Amino acid sequence: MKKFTSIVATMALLGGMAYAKEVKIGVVLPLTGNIAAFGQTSKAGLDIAAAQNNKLSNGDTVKLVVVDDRGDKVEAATAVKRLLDKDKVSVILGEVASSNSMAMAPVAEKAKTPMLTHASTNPRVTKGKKYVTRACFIDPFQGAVMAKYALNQGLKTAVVVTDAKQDYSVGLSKAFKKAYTAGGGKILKTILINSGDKDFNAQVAALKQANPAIVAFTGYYPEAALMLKQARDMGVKTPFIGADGTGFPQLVKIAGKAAEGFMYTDHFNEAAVSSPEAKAYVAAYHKKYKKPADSMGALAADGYGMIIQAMNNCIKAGKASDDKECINKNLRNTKGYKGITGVITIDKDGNAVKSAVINEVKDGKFTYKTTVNP
Amino acid sequence: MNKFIRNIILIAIVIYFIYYAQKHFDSYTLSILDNIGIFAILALSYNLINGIAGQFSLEPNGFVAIGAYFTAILLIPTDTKLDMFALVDPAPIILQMKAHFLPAILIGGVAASFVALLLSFPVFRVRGDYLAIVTLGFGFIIRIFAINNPAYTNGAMGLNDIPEEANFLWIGILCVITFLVMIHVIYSKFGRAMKSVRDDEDAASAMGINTFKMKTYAFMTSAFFEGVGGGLLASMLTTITPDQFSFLLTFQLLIIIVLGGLGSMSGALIATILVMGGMEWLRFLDDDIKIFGMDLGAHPGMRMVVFAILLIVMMLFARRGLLGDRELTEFFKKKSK
Amino acid sequence: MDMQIFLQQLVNGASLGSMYALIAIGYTMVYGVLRLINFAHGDIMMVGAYFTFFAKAAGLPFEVAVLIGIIGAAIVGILTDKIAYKPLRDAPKISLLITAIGISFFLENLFTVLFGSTPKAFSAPEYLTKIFHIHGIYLPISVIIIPTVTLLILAVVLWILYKTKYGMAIRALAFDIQTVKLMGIDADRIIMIVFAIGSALAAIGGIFYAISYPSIDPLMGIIVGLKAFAAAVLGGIGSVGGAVVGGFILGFTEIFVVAMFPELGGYKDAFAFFFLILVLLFKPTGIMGQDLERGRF
Repeated sequence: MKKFTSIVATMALLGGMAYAKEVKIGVVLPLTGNIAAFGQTSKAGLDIAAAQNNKLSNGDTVKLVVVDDRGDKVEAATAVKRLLDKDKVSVILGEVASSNSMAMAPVAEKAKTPMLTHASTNPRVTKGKKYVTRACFIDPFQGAVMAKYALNQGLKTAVVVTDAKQDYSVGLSKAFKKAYTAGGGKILKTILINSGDKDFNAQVAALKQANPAIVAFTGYYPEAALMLKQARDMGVKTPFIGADGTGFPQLVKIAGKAAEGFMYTDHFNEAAVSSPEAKAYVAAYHKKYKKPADSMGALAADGYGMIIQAMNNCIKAGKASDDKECINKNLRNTKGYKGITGVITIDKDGNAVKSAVINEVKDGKFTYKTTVNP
Repeated sequence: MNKFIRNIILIAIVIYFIYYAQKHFDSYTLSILDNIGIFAILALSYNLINGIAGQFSLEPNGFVAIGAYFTAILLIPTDTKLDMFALVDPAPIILQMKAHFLPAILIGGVAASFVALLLSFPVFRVRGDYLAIVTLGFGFIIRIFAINNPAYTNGAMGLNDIPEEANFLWIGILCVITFLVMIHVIYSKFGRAMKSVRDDEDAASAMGINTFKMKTYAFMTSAFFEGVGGGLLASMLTTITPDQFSFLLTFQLLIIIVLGGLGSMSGALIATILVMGGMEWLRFLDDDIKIFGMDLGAHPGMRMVVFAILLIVMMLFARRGLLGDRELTEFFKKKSK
Repeated sequence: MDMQIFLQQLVNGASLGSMYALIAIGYTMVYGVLRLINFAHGDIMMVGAYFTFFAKAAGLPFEVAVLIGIIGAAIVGILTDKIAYKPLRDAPKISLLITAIGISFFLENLFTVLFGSTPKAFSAPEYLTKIFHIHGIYLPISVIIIPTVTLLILAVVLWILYKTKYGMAIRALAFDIQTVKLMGIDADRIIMIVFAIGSALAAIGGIFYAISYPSIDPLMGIIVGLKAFAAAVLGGIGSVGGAVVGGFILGFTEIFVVAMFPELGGYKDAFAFFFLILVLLFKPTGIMGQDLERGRF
């Protein structure tokens, strides 16, 4: 019996030495359901980042616990509770859709657990929350960037295309209109579409009649691609400008030649990355998935990186790597984090202040045009 | 009298369990119980119109949405509303609406019930599958209305920061009340009339039953509790958007009541636990799957594939659902005979 | 609205309506024989488009890929019937409905797991995507081909229904399944044929859909399927001609209302049901429908 106990003791000791503590990051993403494409691309980037770096400075390992919420609010809120109670995670990463993040935020807030959303751009997600932070810019900023860029090109009349079903699009349209009219532009018309629509012939006809200098498309890429194609087919030559929801390779694949000249604001362009970390990410992404890195994955990777940095800072300060209060404080105080999508600083409301890039489709590729700083 | 005391004791035990769970269970378990409770309220009330009155209606997502929106608007403080309505200013009436939790939930139910009354005039002109598609359309239209009227609903952005007042204590007790009301209705004279409409509408009509009135009663009662369930859902989640009230919600409820056995209230309860608990339990399928040391990798979505297969298999083997149209107690009765 | 735009929208509406019509025919035929709202029908359309996509990606010529898509969808349709509907022939109708929803969930999620949910770009050969300009009207060749093929298919389906032995059996089945069985007709075989035809037509609709709007994803069939079903009821469920009429009405309305009143664009998905409710209020059996209890084609 004695022998047995000593064996157990030795094994426990060895185990303790061989395996440092495991810190868990809970990830909630829509991996199925109608916004699954965003969840799946996020996860692709997250996997790369986690494979590159899953060790903290004190040797602790970081483990991702990924939960699918089907893009459903009820499941998103339950998922957070599950991650907190069952998996005992120290941080929550996610969601993509603002409406789902808003269902998760109160749960994290109540449990005093830091939550970092990598892609929810609605200002209300972090509003009044102490434990919710985001790694991306917010809609009003992006809308203003679109408007400024259009005006700088001398395009003074615009038609705004709004996806009535997407809070993202509705918020962005509002921000664009505000900045555009303030800058001396004129909104000729707002055209409504619904995500899931495939036929935009009627909207294109209305657009043709209005004959603006630019079309501000604020929805997502599946609709953007089809609308572009139908507009070009019907002989509409007006330039289109979109936002980060359109920056997906499928846009070019689906729209083909019609995508040429399409401009959009985005978080990053793989051709414009400069830091070695970002380059390593892009290279690893190419190697694993054999396609260009998209911004959704890059944002998720940045969210992961920010969390790791916050944990390392806690260790430096002599705290445990899974100290929630400390992680949250460090996340909230992120300054000049050199991420894949640019330099990220978190402001007092928990929103990321960072630059946006403007890309243009040229010869079927997303080419970098310029960077707009906040 | 004996039976009456037994029932009282049973109810007391259930309420004690709810109280105990609220105090001692962790938030994940409670969250699953919350979901089960709310879906049980919805399934029980949906079962009344569909299983008892036999009207093949696919509307619950509409009534749940109405209840949820009314409750949310009544609960959100005025200055939060002013801040939240980002697209257009909120309509004056929206700003004036204000109530405490329980009244807010009840008003949500009454509003849904009132819409049911208005709706019953056109929809009960048709029967069977036509009724199904018309009511499916109603749910669809409610959702699109919510998207396109931002002055009342804040459009696609939905409402958030709804005060989180619903907890398992509320949900559990309202669930018990719903169950008792439903059982009471079923065994009342109305319930028998509703069943006769289900079994043969023409014969019921010939017997002097006002079939339209019976259908409308069932529809309104059903809508009331669906509205209440919607209100609880809104307050539990603290955020609602039009998209969550799609026909998938209706399908989920339909699956529950058919699986439990159309017309069986205890069946609906059991099926709610099976479906809601089962979907959560099946989560392991989304994780890395390892068979004999071979890592097959993670396949998100596998959970729903397996859920669909299980659903089909269960339906193939229990054609009339788990309990048929009988209540759990009726099974015991048979045995004792 | 000037003449040019009117004509432009007219061709667009005809093309969209054709796709709804093709899918609606399948709905109406299955409903006719089984009295089942086959909620998985929209997903069969998706399956057809995906099979075509993969056959083409494997290097097969487009025409062969289309054929594979159609046959593949027909097989999936038949299998659906064999696995999920046939064992429940005597069960309550609502149980069948649940298995239909189950099949729908199954197909959608299986395709998500296998192929991801990012939309795939569907490329059709040059000769199907060419665009003509006539007096300022832009005519993609597909808007001519699609309605033409749809009407041809309608003619073929009507010919099968009214001029062949199988058609007679199908109509008899729709009239009274019990009696037909007593007369020694293999009802299950006839039902299989109905599923094959319906699924093949859905696949053709799906392929047309993918040619016109070149992106496909595992959930593409849901809304289209629902609308097509509304179209089938609008036209009078159980009537093949009615399904086509309903499909075209829906296609034209969606295009014209949005073109004339862009501010109603947000309500587009509700038109189908709004219309449906109105029609059913005045003629509870749909435009060309017979009494439901004695449904025929």
